[in-house]
Amino acid sequence: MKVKLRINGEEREADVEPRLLLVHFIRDVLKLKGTHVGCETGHCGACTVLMDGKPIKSCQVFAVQADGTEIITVEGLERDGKLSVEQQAFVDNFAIQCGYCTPGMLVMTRYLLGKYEKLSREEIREKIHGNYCMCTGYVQIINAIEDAFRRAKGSEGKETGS
Amino acid sequence: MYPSNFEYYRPSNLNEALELLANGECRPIAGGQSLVPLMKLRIVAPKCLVDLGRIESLRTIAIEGDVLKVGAMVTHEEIVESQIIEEFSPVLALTAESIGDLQVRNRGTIGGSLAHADPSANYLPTLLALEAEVVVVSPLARRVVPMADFVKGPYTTDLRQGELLEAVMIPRYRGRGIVEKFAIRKADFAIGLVTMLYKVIEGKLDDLRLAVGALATGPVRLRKVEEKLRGGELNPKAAEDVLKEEVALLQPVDDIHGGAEYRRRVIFTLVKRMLEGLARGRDNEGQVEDQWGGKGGRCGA
Ligand SMILES: Cc1cc2nc3c(=O)[nH]c(=O)nc-3n(C[C@H](O)[C@H](O)[C@H](O)COP(=O)(O)OP(=O)(O)OC[C@H]3O[C@@H](n4cnc5c(N)ncnc54)[C@H](O)[C@@H]3O)c2cc1C
Ligand code: FES
Ligand code: FES
Repeated sequence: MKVKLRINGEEREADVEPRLLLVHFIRDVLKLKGTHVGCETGHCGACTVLMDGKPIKSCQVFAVQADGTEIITVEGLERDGKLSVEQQAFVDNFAIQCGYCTPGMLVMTRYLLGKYEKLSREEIREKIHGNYCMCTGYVQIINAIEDAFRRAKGSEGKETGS
Repeated sequence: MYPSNFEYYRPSNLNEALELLANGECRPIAGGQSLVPLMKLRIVAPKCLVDLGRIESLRTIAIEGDVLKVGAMVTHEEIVESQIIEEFSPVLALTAESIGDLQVRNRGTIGGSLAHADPSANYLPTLLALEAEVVVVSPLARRVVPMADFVKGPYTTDLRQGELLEAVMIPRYRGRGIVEKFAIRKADFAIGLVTMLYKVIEGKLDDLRLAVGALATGPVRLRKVEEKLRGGELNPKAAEDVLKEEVALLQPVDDIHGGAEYRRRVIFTLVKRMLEGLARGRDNEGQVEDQWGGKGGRCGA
C-alpha cells in the first residue's frame, strides 16, 4: 500500500505492507535511524515522534495510518548542521547517558516548547511520563528541559521545585 | 514484533465503515493503543482493519440540550483539553487526564477504550456514575445502551458483530466530582478506581454517586453507601460498616498486579479517604476541593 507523508519537511513516499509499523517505516524504509525502538510494546517512548504536531509512539501506529500526515523526528530538530535549542540544552546539562531514550526526550521537548510558555519541574515530570530513561538520568533530563525553556523563552521558564 | 498481515481500509464516512465491517472479516481500529499491542503479540490477528481515523463525524464534541455528546474517535487528550467538556463535565476531563501518558492520550480514544473494555479502564466508573449512555450503530439500526448494561465483564461488551460504537451521551450532573486512580506508577493501569459525584446543599450531601472500577464484573455503584449518606450530614463514620459490607461483595480483578483482597482494601481506603476529605471540607464550603492534596483528589464542578 502506498504511504505518502512529509517527514522533517520533506515529502516521502513508499509502497509498504499494511502491517509495517511507523517506527520501522521511518528507520528501515526512510533510513532515518535517529528514532529508537526500545520496548516495542508502547511503554518506553524511545520511538516518540511528532505526528501532525503531537507526540505519539511510532511503534503503536501502522505506517499506513500515517499516510498524509506531517512527521517530525529527532533528525528534524537541527538546522543547517547546528544543534537545536533542545539538543544544546541536553548536551550542556549532561542529560545523556547511554542515549537510548534521548531522541524521544528531545522530540518531546520540542513539543513542550511549542505548546507551553512555561512549565514547573513537576509539570515537566508529568509530561514525560511516557518517556522512560532506562539509565534513570531523570534529574539531568528535567534540568535540560527547564534549561531549554529558559533558552527559548528567556528566564521565564524556570520555576522552583525539587 | 510484526503482526500477521491484514488488509487495510480507511473509509471517510460511517456508512462506508459499516459496510466494510458487515461481512465479519474486518475489525475496526481507532487509536490502536490497545489493538496494535495485541496484534504485535499476535493475541489477535484480524484479516482486515477498518481505520476509523478519518471519519470526521466521529470526532465531534457537542452539547445537545442537557446532554454532552462525545464522538467515539475523540482522543483522551482532546477530552482533557476541551473547553466544552471543562465546563460541562470536568470530572470526565479529570478521568481522561490520568490515562496512561501523553503519547497514549494523543492516540487513544474514548470509543476504543469503551469497546475494548479493559476492566481497569479509567472511563468505566466515571461514565457509570454519570449515568452515561452509549450510542451503537449497525447498517440497519442505531440503539442506545445505558452504561450500566454496556460492559459485561473483562473485555466484553454489549457490542455485536458488525456494530460500531458511535458516541457517548452524558447527561449534565450539576455537582462536583472526584476521581481516584490507584496505580503503582501513574501511567500504569489502575489497581483501584473510584469516582465520586456529589452535591452539598446546606451542609447535606445530595445525589451522592459512588462508582468503582478495576473489577472483574464491569464497574459497580456502591448503592448502599450512597443511600446511607444521601441527604444526611457528612459523616463518613456513619457509612463505614456499610462500606465494608459492600466492598466485601466486590469482585476485583485478581492478577499479578494485585490480588482481589488487596484491591478490596485499596478501594475501601480510597472511598473512606474521599468521604473523610469531603467531611473535612464541610466547614468551609466551596473550598472542598482544597482539602485534597495531589492530583487524583482534585474536584470538578
Ligand atoms: C502504555 C499504555 C498505557 C495505558 N494506560 C491506560 C490507563 O491508565 N487507563 C486506561 O483506561 N487505558 C490505558 N491504556 C489504554 C488506552 O486508553 C487505549 O487508548 C484504549 O484502551 C483503546 O482505545 P483506542 O482508541 O486506542 O482503541 P483501539 O486500540 O484502536 O481498539 C481497541 C478495541 O476496540 C475496538 N474498537 C475501537 N473503536 C471502536 C468503535 N468505535 N466501535 C466498536 N469497536 C471499536 C477495536 O476493534 C479493538 O478491539 C493504555 C495504553 C497504553 C499503550
Ligand atoms: S519502542 Fe515504542 S514505546 Fe517503546
Ligand atoms: S540515557 Fe540511557 S536510557 Fe536514558
